[in-house]
Amino acid sequence: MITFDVLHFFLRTWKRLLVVGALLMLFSLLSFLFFDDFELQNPSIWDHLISTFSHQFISLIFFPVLYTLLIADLVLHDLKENYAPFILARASSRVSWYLAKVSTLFYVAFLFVIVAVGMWLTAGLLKGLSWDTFSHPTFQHAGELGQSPFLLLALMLLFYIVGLTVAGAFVLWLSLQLENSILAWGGIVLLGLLSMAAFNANRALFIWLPLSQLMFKIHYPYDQLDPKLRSFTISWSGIYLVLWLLLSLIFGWLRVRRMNLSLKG
Amino acid sequence: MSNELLLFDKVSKKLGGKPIIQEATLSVAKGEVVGIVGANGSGKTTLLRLATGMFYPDQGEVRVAGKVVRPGLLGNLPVMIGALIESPSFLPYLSGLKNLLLLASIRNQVDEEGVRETMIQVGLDPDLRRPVRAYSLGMRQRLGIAQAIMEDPQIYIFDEPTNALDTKGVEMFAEILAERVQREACVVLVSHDQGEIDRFCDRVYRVEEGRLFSLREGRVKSWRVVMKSLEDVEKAALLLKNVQMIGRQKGYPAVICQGEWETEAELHHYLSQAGIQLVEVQVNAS
Repeated sequence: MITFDVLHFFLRTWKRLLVVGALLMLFSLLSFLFFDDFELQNPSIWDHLISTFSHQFISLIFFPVLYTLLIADLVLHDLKENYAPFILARASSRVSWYLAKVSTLFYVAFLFVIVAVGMWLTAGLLKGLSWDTFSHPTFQHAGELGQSPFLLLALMLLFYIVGLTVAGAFVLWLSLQLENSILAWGGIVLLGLLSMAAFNANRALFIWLPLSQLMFKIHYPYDQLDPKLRSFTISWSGIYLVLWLLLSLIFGWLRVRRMNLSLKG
Repeated sequence: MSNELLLFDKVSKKLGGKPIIQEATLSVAKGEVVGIVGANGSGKTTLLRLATGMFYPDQGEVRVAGKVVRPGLLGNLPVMIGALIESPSFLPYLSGLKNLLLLASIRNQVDEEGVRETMIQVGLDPDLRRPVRAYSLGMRQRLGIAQAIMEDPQIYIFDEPTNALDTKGVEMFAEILAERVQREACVVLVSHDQGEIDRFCDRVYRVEEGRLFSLREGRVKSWRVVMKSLEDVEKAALLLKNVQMIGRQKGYPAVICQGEWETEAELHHYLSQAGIQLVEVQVNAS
């Protein structure tokens, strides 16, 4: 079921994947505009990666919005296009179908992050950035704690993959609840804007908002400048993401378990 | 009924607060074809969706192969169902074969050879590389029928299955139906075409304002009966419906008539009981 759903997704949305890929490529070339750690004189590719991937626009708006654009109609497409009877006649339960969708979310998030990293690294190479230094303050603070810079990068990417999957699960539930994938996608755009507003105006509120967890470099102790963010740790964000995922799954399960699986009237 | 595969027991369903199905009761046994007719929006398709688990009833019970179709913890779905509900939707950029193989990968009950055979059975070329978006409506319908039958389920749900099919296509569907019924599968068929319903179905129901009404409880077949004398023909004319003399066979008078008997022996017994002397009884006389 999972293999089927993942394959079905890629075969169905290949045009949208190309558009998203093109947008990622464009933004990877423009990524130097989002490098906001200006005190670094000669940033390396890794400094560039962590600085831009943690930029408020990229992490709170661009990546989540682009990713959810891919998956917002993951469930509703089957129902609206009358494809669901084909699948459900072969599925053991509605929940197994729904969990296959959640697995697809994970695979798409994984691919999204890998492609984005690949493009960012290529852009860095084209710009002639070096590979061998880790000057960014995040790496410096991690070094003081005895953490390897690559472990830190892996953690950031893991947060992205999990964070995007969780955002996808939320959109999945919202789309089932509203029976409208555009409104569900709008929900994530709104959350991104709220998080960005809170980041700029109210940091105490910021840590409570979904998507904030994707802004990796401002987690304590990697960022020690803002005392209001002392409680915004990796553990905090990890727990936050797990709880958000569980809630989205539970609400999605409750909805999909009973709803009328046809939106064709 | 022990060989009952599908049962609607006083099923009611509301959609958008409006009652669509009201206390519908229907059972379909192995080897039976049940037809459902009704005006647009009368609830025919809703009835089929209830059988496939796309909808759950608000009241009453739907049983498929003895198991109640209800939400449970995981949102239970009936197994062993082959369904074609409304116009089939496939991945437009893939060929028919690839579309079916993709669907077959969900349960892995049928291999590529089986899928190819099914495509040939419905009159499609499995090696045709043309994408489904370039298929005619009739070809898509055939592909829809192929996806419903390829895993050889026991229960078939067809909503307007002969839509867009040409005469050959309808004959193909009739053959498939006969073959599946012979293997003790059961079929629920929704159609607006009365001729199609009369031809394929053993029993027919009409949905009207969400309620099911029985129109016919048996399949009306055409019979050819050769009798000993004209006196027997006269007796038969009083007993049977639509008796028509068609001439003589080896000197004996032959008639055709219509009725719901299951077998030739049944009709033979019925007429013999009435004192009619018979030479030959044959089903489906032309």
